Amino acid sequence: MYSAYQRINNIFALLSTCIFALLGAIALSSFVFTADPKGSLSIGSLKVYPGRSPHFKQLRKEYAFVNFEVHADLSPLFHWNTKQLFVYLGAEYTSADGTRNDVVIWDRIIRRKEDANLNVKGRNKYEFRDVAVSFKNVTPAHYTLKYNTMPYVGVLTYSEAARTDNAIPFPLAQERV
Amino acid sequence: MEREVIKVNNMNMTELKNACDDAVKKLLSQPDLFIENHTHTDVKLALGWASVLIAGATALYGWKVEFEQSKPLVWTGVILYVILTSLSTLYSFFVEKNTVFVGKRKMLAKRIETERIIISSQTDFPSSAPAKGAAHEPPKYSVTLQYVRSSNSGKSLLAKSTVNSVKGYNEFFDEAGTMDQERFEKWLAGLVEKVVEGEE
Amino acid sequence: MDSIKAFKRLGVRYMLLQALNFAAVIASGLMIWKGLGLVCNTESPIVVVLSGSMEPAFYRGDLLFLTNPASEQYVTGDITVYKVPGADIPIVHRVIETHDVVSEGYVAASPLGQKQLLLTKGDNNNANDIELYQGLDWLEKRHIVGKVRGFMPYIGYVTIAMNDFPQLKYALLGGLGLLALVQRE
Repeated sequence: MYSAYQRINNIFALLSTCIFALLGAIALSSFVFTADPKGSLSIGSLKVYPGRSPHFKQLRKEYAFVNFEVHADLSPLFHWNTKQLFVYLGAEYTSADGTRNDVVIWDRIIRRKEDANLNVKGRNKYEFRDVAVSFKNVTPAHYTLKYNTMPYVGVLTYSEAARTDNAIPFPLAQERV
Repeated sequence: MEREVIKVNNMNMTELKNACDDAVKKLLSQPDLFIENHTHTDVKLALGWASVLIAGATALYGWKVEFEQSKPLVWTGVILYVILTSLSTLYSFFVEKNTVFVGKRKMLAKRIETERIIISSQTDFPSSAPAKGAAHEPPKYSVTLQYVRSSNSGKSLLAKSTVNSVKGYNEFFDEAGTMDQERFEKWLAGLVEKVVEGEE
Repeated sequence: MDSIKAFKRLGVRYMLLQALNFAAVIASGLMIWKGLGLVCNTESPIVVVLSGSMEPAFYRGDLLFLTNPASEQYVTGDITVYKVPGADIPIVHRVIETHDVVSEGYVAASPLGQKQLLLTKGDNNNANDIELYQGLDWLEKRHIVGKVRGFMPYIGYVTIAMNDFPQLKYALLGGLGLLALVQRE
């Protein structure tokens, strides 16, 4: 400890070591919490209508409209290093040409434990359309409720909370009433 | 002869040791004494600058060329860099060690005789806190001189000796950190004389 | 001025050695970055968040750790960093659609060889990213820089500050350089 520069240097080195060790410990502590809550997911109704794509204006495409019901208590996922949950509902199906698809149709950001008990009756937030023009001849779709746990510091983790028991077939497109 | 005053921060062990090491080099490399051999420094310089150049070239290449395409050569560069820096570290640790000065001189006495001297140094810290009432023990400069005299370009060994001496830094530096160069040189010259004459 | 005297006294070797001290610090930094990039299989293993489109998950200045293993497909929910040709900065957004195409005339032996069409969206945005794709309809594997694996808040602000105030960057670099040249180990 022979000069001001060396003292500042030492203090700074000690401080940053402490901060990074602490951050590392907090990040690792997330692995102690192993909650894996499950919920239920059901699809109420599923309808397909033709429409115009906002992106491909000249193209008439088919759009699917899904009514769903979600019940899942995800509050066990909240601990001291949980910043937020990103919950999303996806549809998995295979197109007529063999393309395997996974499309998120609804999501929600949950920031507080109090809001983590999900009881949602809703409809898809995002456009649900196939890569091709039509949903004709696609396989029935499975719907899944997944979540991404996002920490204050550390590793992002993913898990699945619910999945429909049976695949739900797409109906034929109907003209809008 | 007017000489440059050497003044250091005497709370800083590195500065104290560096000042002593510099004085060792200065004294021993005087024209009538030994010719300094810079192999250790040169090896480290070569390895070090080679690794720096490779790192620079690799980074430049990785920046210019698209990632997927650049991978094989960047791998090569990174691996070469690791090899060169570890070689340099191993060299300082196992070969150079604490060496401060390596010198050589030739003498013509019936046949050609070669004298080699290797000087290494380190700082010895007091092993434990002083007992109550005892004087505070200062950190010490420990110097080792190795001397070899040979002829027939090193084939026959004529003399070999080693001398070690330890003195507190307080003997060479005053409270303000000014170095007593004469005293240091006198001590060192005595050690050189001793090792050359082969007293064990 | 003491150091200049020392330079004269100790010669070219000493100067080369001091310059090496400085150069070696920079070289090791570069090589750690490149090595990390190779291990994580991504050109930038650590990125700083520059926009608010993923709030409240990521704010400006947060640090993200990326990997991009060649053996993994992208799935919905992944947060990716992507760069499309024509756009100058990479974007951090979440994958909301994946389409593993098999109809391109062949079926790859493993699903990894397949073409994958991706659509992304910022958690905080209402609309998906098609407008950001510079004319492309879908994102593809080759546009993806990496998947976000880990997160650390605020630390990246240092680089944002250095970008916003270039003087700070030069002062820092100059100061470090001077220290490395003057100091002996």
